[in-house]
Amino acid sequence: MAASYEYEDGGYPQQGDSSGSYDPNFVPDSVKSFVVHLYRHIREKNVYEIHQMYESSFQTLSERMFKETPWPSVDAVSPYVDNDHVFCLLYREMWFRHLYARLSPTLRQRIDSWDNYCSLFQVVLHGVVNMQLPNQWLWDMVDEFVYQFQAFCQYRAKMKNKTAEEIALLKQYDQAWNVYGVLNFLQALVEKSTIIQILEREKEGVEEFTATDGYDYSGGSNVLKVLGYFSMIGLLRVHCLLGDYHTGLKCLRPIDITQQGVYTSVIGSHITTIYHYGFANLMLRRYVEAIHEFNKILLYIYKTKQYHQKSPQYEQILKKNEQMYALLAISLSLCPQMKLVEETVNSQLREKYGEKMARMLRYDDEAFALYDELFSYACPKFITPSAPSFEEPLVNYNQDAYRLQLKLFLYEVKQQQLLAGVRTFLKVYSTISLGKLANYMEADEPTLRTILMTYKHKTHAVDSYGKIISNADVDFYIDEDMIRVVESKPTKKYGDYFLRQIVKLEGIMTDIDRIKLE
Amino acid sequence: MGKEATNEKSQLAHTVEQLIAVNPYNPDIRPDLENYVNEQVSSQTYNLDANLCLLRLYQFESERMSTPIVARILVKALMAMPAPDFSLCLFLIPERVQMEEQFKTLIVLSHYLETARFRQFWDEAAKSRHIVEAVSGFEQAIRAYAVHVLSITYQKVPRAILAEAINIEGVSLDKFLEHHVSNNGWVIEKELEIDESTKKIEARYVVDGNAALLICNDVGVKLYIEVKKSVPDFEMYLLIINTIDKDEVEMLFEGETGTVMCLENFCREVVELIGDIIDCSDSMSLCDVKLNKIISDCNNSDVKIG
Repeated sequence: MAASYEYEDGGYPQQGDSSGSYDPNFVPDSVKSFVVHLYRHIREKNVYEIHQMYESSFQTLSERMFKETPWPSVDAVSPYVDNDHVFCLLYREMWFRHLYARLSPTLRQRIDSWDNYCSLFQVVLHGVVNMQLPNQWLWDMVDEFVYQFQAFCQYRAKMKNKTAEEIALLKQYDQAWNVYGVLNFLQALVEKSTIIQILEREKEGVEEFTATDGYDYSGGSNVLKVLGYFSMIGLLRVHCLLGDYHTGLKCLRPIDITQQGVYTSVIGSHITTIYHYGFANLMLRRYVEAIHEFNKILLYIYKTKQYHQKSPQYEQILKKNEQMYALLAISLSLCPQMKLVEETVNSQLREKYGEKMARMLRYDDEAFALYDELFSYACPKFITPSAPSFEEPLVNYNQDAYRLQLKLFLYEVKQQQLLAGVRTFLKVYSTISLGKLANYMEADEPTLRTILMTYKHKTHAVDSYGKIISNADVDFYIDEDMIRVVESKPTKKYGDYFLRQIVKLEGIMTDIDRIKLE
Repeated sequence: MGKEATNEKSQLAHTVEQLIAVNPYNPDIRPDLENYVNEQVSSQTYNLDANLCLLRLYQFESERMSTPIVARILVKALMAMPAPDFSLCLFLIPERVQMEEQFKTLIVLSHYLETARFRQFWDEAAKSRHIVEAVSGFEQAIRAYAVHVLSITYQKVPRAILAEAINIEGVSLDKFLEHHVSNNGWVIEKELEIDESTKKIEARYVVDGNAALLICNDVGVKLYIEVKKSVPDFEMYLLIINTIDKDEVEMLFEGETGTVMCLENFCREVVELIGDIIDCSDSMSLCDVKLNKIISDCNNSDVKIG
């Protein structure tokens, strides 16, 4: 069904001025050469060359020739690739991805892209694909599939300005980007690939997956296996978009994120995994776990981002980097475990959010506004998965899911609002009487007792195995009428700090040396 | 998350678990999941995964949502405190549904529990009997949570505070205490002649096996061993050893009784490290995860309380 659509029959409205000259059937020589070579490399299973063409040639050509128009239609290029069915599906997948990134897709195009994913995944699921594709490409497929689903939900939820034609199409194609369909495709890829069992067997040492980065060097195909692997991350993301953090984390569990793995072989997948993992843990009140993972990935991005400057994902990497600093700022405001944060990350964090974090500790209206601001900036683009009501009057509901998650998050922050005060006093006393602390907190003693118990409850998290663990930086217990404080003393890491200062000093000295006095 | 019931699983529970494992994203399993919620209510069992799965189906097809079922799920989630299950459910329930009166009440109840305001909680619960009394075991579950919060906060809980938190007084409270003394290793202070001036023992016992027993020094270890001798399944409690007393760096116990274990604070790592002690076959030895003995032959030590 992939090649069955006619592009030239006016199905697609014109895309702005420049598209007036867009002829979907015109295939420039450079494109001809591109598809011919790509097709050959795929047939020859030359992963290195495929990767080069996919990562750089496609970008270069897009930049040079298709900045504001789509690529030539699949029908126009298929004669150059023996009308190969699978290749055409892959080409269209890229075609739509390019369209989504540079232009705004019409409803018709969104539906067609869904159909293309259905055909592509069905081919993969039936095991007839005998290719070896780069991990980057396979990751991009899953990533784009979830992205287009999310984009579709957002688009559909803006009902107010839909035309009658669009509404008719939405009704007619109610299966397109249906949430069951999306989840079931991802789930089917996970199951059909038997990736969970493969990872299990790898632990026992009887199968290799991570060691070969998922590639198959014995003549087989890596496509289903690796798509299955990335689909677990796709499921985590979809569940986070739906607000189901518990299930999302459960889907990710077969991947051990304390270790390197295939998910770290592609920067986009690495970041997506940790961003959603950290966010889900933040919402589950497992702040220490969130801080831990954000710290690790932010340090990693800090050290490696220079190598990605030319990558098409570079902007996305920077965006997620900023968002994760915001999430780290939130986590640390609720659970000030500064000792978990590495010096480099800490100085970046201070630079970006130091002043805001100080204000967030005050728990006044302004502080709540800051929690709101940071959360709204950094949260995933939540979606409402159900179909709209087509009854008049048409209403927009694209903000509903986001508002609900924000509200519940701020509710949690409110419940913790007095804890920062308690923490401040606990830090300066080793023992303090209940009466005295009540006085300081301007509360009566029974209220203070509830505050102290709230502190205890909120600083304990239930981990994924049901164990209760303490996240507290300052702990205490009540003995008779005295509060006895137990503070863990962090060992200060001066080495790190001094090393950085030395490097800075050396930099300044070279700069000074370069200055010539006139 | 939450607490799983240990008793025999019903036929329905088996079926539903299989359905979820095979095809969690299938609208046709909704009726089974709904029946399963009712069964959880009547048989005092709990399955968060199944309930979230059902809420998800409601989220996908909101016209099929049954509010009485949602209310039951939320009450069960409250009973799973201190786990954050109640929030997990709310994340999936549309805001306009949450505006309904019965859900508002449940949200208020959850708020009181989250902020440890037990007095207000019991008052409010008394006003909404029709909601909470429909689920058996509700009061016991909340009491277990209250006891959990008290036990992580207090070294010794004053009787009045306990009475208020669990909403039991007088003779019933005596009975409650009696029960926990005999079943859960609670200690009523007068009966235990510990030299209070040392103030070093900190032993915590909680009704459900999740919480930890914290040991600060060798007196604590001795007490632990002593109790373990008389209560065979005392190992169900996590053991946490730390050196809380900042003034002296103290060996936890003598070299002759076993290996010395000294840990700075009872952080996550420590919990994981000693969390698995429980599996030792020798009832009197303590091992870490790698099965290195922490305490070997404890019978040699001359154990006396005090």
